[in-house]
Parts: sequence; structure tokens; C-alpha cells
Amino acid sequence: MGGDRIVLDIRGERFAVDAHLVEYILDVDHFSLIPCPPQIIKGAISHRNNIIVIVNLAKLLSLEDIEEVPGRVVVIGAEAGLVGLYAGKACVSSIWGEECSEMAFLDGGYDFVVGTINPMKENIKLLDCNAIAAMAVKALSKKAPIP
Amino acid sequence: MDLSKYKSLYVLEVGEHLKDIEAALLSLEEGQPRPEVVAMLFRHFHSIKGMSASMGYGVISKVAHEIEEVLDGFRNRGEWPKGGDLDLFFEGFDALKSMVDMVDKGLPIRLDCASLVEGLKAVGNRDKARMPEKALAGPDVRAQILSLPKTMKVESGLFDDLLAGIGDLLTIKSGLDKLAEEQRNIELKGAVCRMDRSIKDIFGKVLEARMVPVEALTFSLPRVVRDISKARGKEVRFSIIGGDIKLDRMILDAVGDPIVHMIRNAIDHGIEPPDERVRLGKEPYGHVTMYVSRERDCVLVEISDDGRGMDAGRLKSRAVGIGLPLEKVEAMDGKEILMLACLPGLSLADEITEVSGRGVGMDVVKGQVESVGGFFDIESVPGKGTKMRMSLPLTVSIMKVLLVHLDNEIFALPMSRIIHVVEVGDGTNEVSFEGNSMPLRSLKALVGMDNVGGVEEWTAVIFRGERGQVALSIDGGSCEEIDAYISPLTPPFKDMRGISAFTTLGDGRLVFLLDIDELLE
Repeated sequence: MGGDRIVLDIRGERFAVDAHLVEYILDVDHFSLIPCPPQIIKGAISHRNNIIVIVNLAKLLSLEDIEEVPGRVVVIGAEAGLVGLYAGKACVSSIWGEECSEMAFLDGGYDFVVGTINPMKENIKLLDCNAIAAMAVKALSKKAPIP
Repeated sequence: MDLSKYKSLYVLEVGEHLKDIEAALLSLEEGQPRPEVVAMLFRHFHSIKGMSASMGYGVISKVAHEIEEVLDGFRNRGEWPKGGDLDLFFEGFDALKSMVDMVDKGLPIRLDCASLVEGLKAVGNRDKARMPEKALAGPDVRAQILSLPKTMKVESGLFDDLLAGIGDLLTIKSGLDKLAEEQRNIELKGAVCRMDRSIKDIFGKVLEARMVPVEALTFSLPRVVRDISKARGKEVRFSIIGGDIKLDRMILDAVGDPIVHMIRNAIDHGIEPPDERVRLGKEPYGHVTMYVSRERDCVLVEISDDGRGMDAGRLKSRAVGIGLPLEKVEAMDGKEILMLACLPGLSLADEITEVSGRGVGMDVVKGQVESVGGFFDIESVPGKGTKMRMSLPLTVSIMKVLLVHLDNEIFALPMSRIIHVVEVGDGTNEVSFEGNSMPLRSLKALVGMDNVGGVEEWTAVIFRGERGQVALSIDGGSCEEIDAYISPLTPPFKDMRGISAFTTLGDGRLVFLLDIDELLE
């Protein structure tokens, strides 16, 4: 589970994503509304003629909602495709793989967190980007129940 | 059958074969004798023979046939022509080229090939390896000039790329439009105007190049009809009206399978067996007609039959059988009941045949039509027949849309489905249009936006929905019509509810093309 990580500070908590999955980090000032969206979907943007659906990380992780616009979007190239993680005005930083080689798996509590990493004794939750992207695809499918 | 319209394609195709023949003959002459070259030459002449016979160019077909016969002998013996024999092939090649040039120029084919044919036969027989003194007065070598064909084949994907490029230009132009407006710069405005004209000019040409007559897709349908009707013991007269109407290649490609499926259904389920038809006072043979027509910026493709029609009662019971609530089915009107045939897994067939009855098909037909921005519906009268109608956009990619501004959001609606825009007063629940009264549905509510209200006058759009006209209130918003470059949804978000495609505005903003029928559901 080594490798560099991108770290997002959201509502006092720190979350990391695998750096090799990060395609872009964009400042976005408007999210287009997806009709009848599930709560965890912030909206969508167009980037290089691709639709990028944006997942609201605060809602997803049951944190206090963030509504800052323009806000920062971390676009990840997950197994399911490109998905954006909306992090509001979160501070985005990076940590080297060598700093975060230790990881403890979490037993429960967070559906989309793989475990915690402790570089320099900090508690950083590593997000399961593939699970988040798969969830977004499922939530927006025609087969999903109407919210 | 009028074959003249296929002349340019014939000239192009034969020209390609001749080009390869010439190269192969030269390689034989240059001392690279290989049996596979002879086999390749055989195939080329065989193709020319077949194509020429189909087009009615008997002399060309005859010469190609004689050459093919001689080559067959060489091929069977594992030999290849050389010396005088090879000269004869070159002369045959020259004769074919001259005659195809005459076809290209619209001239009557006047070339004396008797001595050439005689010479070829002589070589073929091998009893007299006699070369005719002058097989043919071929073209004077000194007078030959190098020339390129007027038409050329390119990969159809190139046109998709060109169209995508034009889409990008339109997006850039839209941004420049705004800039010119803000800057109040007359030179910039003039440049944008000229750019607009050029883009539209290129766009028109690219669209034209992508247009293909419907008959290019349907030429094999009579054979399909013959085979299916024979297999099912039915007599069917099939006709195509309006096959010369052109559609974008991509759209035509997408509806090929649906057309075949609808015709199969018409024969298998619609048309009665001859004895039953006679008993019902009908002609023993049924009629299946494909009628293609233009309507505004759409092409209508109707497949109709004069068979038994669809049984609404059976459709309802089958729909309940696959899990649709009884009360919902009972509340449906006639058109809605017919559209039940498009439910996944619903089939009216009592038996599964190799033709139909597996419950897959009509849902796919509807899905395919809608995937290219089209619209599908069914009319049927018991005992009289069924008409399945596809309303297809002329072109894909760039289409006229109505941009609807709702608070901070912008959505697009396809102009081809918009019948009228009217103003309605506050508190109106219904809109009357051309004698039809229809409920007013809030677009904001449909897309899940809060409706603040307080607007005295609303704009309402009369939209041609799958289940009839519907009035959509724009809830205090505004509308504008634009030409938009439409991109299809792609995986993983290919099947988002209520969205059929998207476009990007000049400022980079993403706008969804709404699927109103789905939102209304």
C-alpha cells in the first residue's frame, strides 16, 4: 500500500487518495445539475469533452456539508472511469510514499476508507477511490431508485 | 431499377481493381512469377465481371470473363502468363480501362473487342498458341496521361473527427461571440461573423459528405422479406417508398437492425397466412411497406403492414405477467398500451421461432432509435394492420437545441421535439394548444430543483413527448435557440436518468440534453 498520496483537509479531517489515480486537480466555479441527483452527487463538469461527475466528499463521508464555490475538485481515474471528488476549499497537499508506508486497516465506520496512514503520527484516512467511483456510477444509473 | 446513381461507385470500385491488376501484371513481367499473383488477378477480374454484369455493361463483363477463363487455366496448372500471353493480358487490361473510362464519361461503350476475345480464347485452348496480329487497337501509349479519379474513398471515421473539430470551433466561436459583444469591437465582430460563415460552410459540406440514401442500407431487404415469408409460409409483397431520402451515415447505421427487426415482426406476427387472409376477405398476400419521408428537420421511417394488428388485451396481460402493476396497466390509454411492446422481456409470440418471440427486440429497437436522438411510436388497428414509426434527426452531433435557463442552471431540449413556445399566466395548470388541452408540468420540478414561485408570467414549451404533447413550464426562466455540438454520454455514465447527451457552451459550461420522456416517467 505504498506510493505517494494526495491529502485533502476537509472539516478538520484529513483524507488521502493514491497519487497515481489523480488525473487533475481543478478549481471549479460551477457544477451543472444532474436531474434528480442523489445527495452525494454535487453535479458534473465538462473537461476535455468528457463528463466528470462530481461526488460531494463531505456528504459521502457524513461530514458537515461544504458549499464553497469555486471549490476544488480532485479528478481520479478509477477503474470505473473518471470521477471528481469535491473538497470545497480544502487544502490540498501531498506526502511521499516513504512517509506513509505504515497503514492500519479499519474494521468499520467508513464505507469508502481503506485504512489509516500515520505519516509523522497524523491520522490520515486513505479513501477507496474505486469504491467511490463505482458507487457514483451505480447511484446515477437508470436502474437506481429515484432519490 | 435505376442503376445510374451507382455509376460513380462502380467506376471507383472497378478503378481500384484495375489499379491492382496493373500492378500485378507488371510484377509478373518484372520476373516475380508467383502462383498467388495469378490467383489474385483471377479474383480481381472475377469481381469486375460480376459488378459489370450487375450494372448491365455486358461487353466489359464479357472481356473480364474471357480473361478470367484463361487465368483459371494458368491457376489450375500452377503456371503464370509470360511473353506474348502477358501482352494479351495487358491488352485486355487496356480494353477494360478504356471501356470503364467511357462509362465514367457517360459515353456509349464502343470498342471492338472481338479479336481480343478471340486471342484470349486461343490462349485458353492452348491448341493454337496463336497471338492475333492485333488483338485490339489499344490506346496509344504516347497519348496516355496520368490522372486521378474524381472520387475517393476515405474512412467514415474521418468525417466523425471532422465533425468533432467543427464542434470545437463552434464552442470557440460561441466564446468569441460573447467577447465581441462585451468588447464592442467592430473588427472583432466582423472577424467572428466571417468565422461563423466559414464554419457553417465547412459544416454543411461535411454533413453533405456524411449523408447516405436510405436505399444504400435497405437494398438487401427484399431478400430478407422473401426468406422470412418463405420460412413462415406467408406471401408478402414488400415495397420501399422514399428510399432516395438521405440520412446521416451514423444514424442510418444505428437503425439498420431495428428496421430488419420491425419487418421480421410484421411478417411473423402481423401478416396472416394466405388461407386466413382469404377467409377474412383480404388478398392472399400481405403488404409490408417501408415509407421514408422528410418532415421539418427529421426523417420519418414507417414500417407498416396490413396484417392482424396488435392485440391490446394480450399486451396488457403479458405486461402484468412480467411484473407491471395491474392498476397501472388498466389506467393506460391506447397508445401507451401499444408501447408496452417495448418493455424489456415482453413478447406477444406464443412460440419462439428463429425469427422472433424471445422477448428481445422491440425494447432494443426503441433504445437504438432514441440513442441517436430519434423517437419511436406504434399505431395499430385490430384486423387492419400495424404501423411502426421512427422519427430520426437528419444529422447527429450538431443539432438545434433550445437552451433553457432556470436560475443558475442551463438545460437543453432538442428543437426537433418542440412544437411551440407560449406564454402562460401564473396559476395556470393547463395549457390549450391547437384544440388540445394538456397539463402544465414544471421543468424545475422534473429536474429536481426547488420552485420558488412568485412569477406572474411563465414561458411554456409544447413538447412532443412519447405519449403525446406535453406543456413544460420554464418557471420564470428564459429560452434561446442555438446550434450545439452534441456529444453522446460515454461509459461509465452512459445511462444517467433523464439525460440523453450533453454539450459544452463557449464558456466551458456543461449543459445536459434532457430526456423529457424519461423525466416524465
